[in-house]
Amino acid sequence: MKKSVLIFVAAILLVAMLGSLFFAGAIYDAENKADIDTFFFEPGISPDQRIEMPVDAENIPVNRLRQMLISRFVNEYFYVIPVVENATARSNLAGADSKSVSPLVGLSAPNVTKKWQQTVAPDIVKMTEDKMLRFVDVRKISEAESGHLTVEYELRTWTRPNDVLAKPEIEKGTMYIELKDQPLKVDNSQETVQNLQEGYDPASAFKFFILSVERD
Amino acid sequence: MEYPDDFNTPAFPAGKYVAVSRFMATAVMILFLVIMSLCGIIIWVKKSQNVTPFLVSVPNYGGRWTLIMHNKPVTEIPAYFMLQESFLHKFVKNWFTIHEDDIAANQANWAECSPRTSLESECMDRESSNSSTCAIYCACNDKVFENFKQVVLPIFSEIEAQESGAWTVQSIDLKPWNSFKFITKQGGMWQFSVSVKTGSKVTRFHGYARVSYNEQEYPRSMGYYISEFNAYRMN
Repeated sequence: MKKSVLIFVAAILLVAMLGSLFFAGAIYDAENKADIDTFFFEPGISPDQRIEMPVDAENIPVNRLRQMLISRFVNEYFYVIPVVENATARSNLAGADSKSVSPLVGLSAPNVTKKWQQTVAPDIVKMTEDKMLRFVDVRKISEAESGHLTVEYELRTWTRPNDVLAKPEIEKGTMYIELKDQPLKVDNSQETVQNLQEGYDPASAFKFFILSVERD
Repeated sequence: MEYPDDFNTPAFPAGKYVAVSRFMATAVMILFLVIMSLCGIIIWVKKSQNVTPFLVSVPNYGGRWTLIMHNKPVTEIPAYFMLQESFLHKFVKNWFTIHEDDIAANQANWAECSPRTSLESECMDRESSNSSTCAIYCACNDKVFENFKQVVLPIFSEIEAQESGAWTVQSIDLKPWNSFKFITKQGGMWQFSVSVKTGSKVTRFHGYARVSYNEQEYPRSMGYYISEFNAYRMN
């Protein structure tokens, strides 16, 4: 009888301890939980570009959102600015924190990133050293019969800095993208919130993934 | 009674069970209260949650998406940030300005003074920080000034000679290239957009400039100088 009482008391204490652990954990989670459904978009960072009301990600049509993310991806693939740190960090994706450096890692499969690193990144580094500037315009996105997306883009390249008369060279190209089949929405996980606070590209907060890329 | 050999021999045989059951009753009650208050705290914490929207800027020409605001607003801007911002603003304005009827002002702005390291140089004179003499030369390093002389100055001299050849800066928009945290007391990378009235048109330029720090050589601008300057015509 004495032993059974002791076992019963021990069991109660164990349950109480586990319960407290669970509740402490729950309180910790609740305290840290942040809701990122409210994900707003604005056209620009400076006040004069901020004349319209921000748009909630939930209220942007899926097609538009997909178009924005593809534009973001194609931009990241080609853009060049005359900042050496930018080119070095982007071209060297081997680091553990590579996602924070380049949204390419977060938005696409490893084979896409590897191919980019081998084919496009060296050009970007060279152009950066030569102080060139390259902006990207995505002109048209259409869906092919195979389910691939055809992206027509235009690269505007300024080859000589500070030449106040120089106009950019324009080059057109086409890219074929295969997307992972998944609903396009904000990834609400705690990890995403943390990543965004640490400076990851905001595009990485979406469930959007590119499986393969081919270029003309 | 076998005392003192058997300690467990109770004075009152049922006493132990009564004590255990009292203890259990009290413990269960305390546990119940603790669990109830924890539930209360959970509800309180959940209810008191703030809305923390992510505000993202998507530029029209593509490029980087920027997180403008979250739940950690910038509460104070350090003095060195303001200094660099004002200094760069002034430099960009000087770089893109061509006076129409005041050739002397243009020449002063574009002039190359005696080397910065010599004590007679205008660049060493703190008092002349608002002077337009050698405004560009005294605010950048030799590499940037050389580029200005070779690439920009020939074009500006031609424009100056034309009728209605004035260039007036209408607006300058400056921001750190990546994020506020990359601007330190030692300088940092900035990006800018400038609208310049060139004759009857408005021309927009976009560029990147690196501000560096050398107190000895650039006393006129409190140590700050431009070590890289790259601007591109947008239209």
